Amino acid sequence: MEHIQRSFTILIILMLGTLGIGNTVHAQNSGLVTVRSGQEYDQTVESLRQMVSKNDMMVMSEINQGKILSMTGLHLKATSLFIGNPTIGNKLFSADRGVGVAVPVRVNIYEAKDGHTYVSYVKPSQQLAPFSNEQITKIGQQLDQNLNNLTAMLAK
Amino acid sequence: MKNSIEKLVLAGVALLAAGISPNLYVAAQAGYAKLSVLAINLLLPSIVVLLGVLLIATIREHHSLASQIWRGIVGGFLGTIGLEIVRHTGFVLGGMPGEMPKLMGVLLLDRFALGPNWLSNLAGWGYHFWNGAAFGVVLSVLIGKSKLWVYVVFALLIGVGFMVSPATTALGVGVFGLQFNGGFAATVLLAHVAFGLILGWYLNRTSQSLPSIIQRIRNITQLGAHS
Repeated sequence: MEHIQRSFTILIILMLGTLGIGNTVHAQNSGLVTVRSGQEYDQTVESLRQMVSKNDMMVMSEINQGKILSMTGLHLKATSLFIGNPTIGNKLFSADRGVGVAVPVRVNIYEAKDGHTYVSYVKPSQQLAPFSNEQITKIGQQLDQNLNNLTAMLAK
Repeated sequence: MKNSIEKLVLAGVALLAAGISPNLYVAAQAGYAKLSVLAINLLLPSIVVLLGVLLIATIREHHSLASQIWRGIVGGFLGTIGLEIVRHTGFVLGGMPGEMPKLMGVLLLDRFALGPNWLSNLAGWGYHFWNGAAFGVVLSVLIGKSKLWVYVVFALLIGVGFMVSPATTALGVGVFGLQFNGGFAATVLLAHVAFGLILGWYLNRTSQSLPSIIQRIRNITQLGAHS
């Protein structure tokens, strides 16, 4: 009995270990990736903008969710940036005109109730998966990698 | 006779011009066009036309009409202060889903995604108060000098119209705001009662007589019968 309990405890520890106690908070099968930023909210937004630019992409549009919601009396810090670049867009839309549902990629930056700032996004590969197109799948994976690099820099 | 017809035509133009502004927000929320586009194409011209009628009425010495327009603007502006006190109190108490003047501002400047700033707030409040002034002109020209309750009834009709229009339903609160809470309809109706009371009080206090549009038409028909 004691042997079983010990094995069970080891298994739990191993499972927790694989989930990661680092800055990546969520990266489940849903495709949602949430990374804790090492900076304050405003700095995170600013840094992300600059990193997007340095990584050959651009912020195509943005929604200041916090300011919009302030009109309803709810006060919070949250911004969504829509990022991509015309070359990727050209390739994706050439492959399938319906990809607009997934690109530009939406990255959400928000200050949570715990006071920390998080950056989250749904993996582009997951969003583009329904198109079942080899080229789109490849670009989706490339975008996953780009976003992973961007957010990893923020987590430092 | 000719003078009376001229006054009636000018009163009609003033009514039409004043009626444009409050309907633009409703049209935008109904999806006909962006408020920023409507503001340039219709709001600004309607303000110019209304002020033009006021100028012509003053130059042509149509004192009663000039007085109606001017007092309507001032009374509507004052009425909106009263309306705002009630509306803002309702908002703070949870009876309203949002700050409508701020929403108007971001729509006017086409910056909804970025949220409000001081300029959009200024534009939104300006538009909101101009709507109040426009309604003041409409009621002043339409019903002239009358009993206080008449203004309140008309103001309530404006409030009810607002609550069944896309201006309300686009907020996701349903007709009369019933999907939000009962406080919505109570706030809107009380705010419009305040508007009607203040406008009516001001028009009655500052004017000896202001003819209604019906009285103007009747004057012409009587003059026509005598000539």
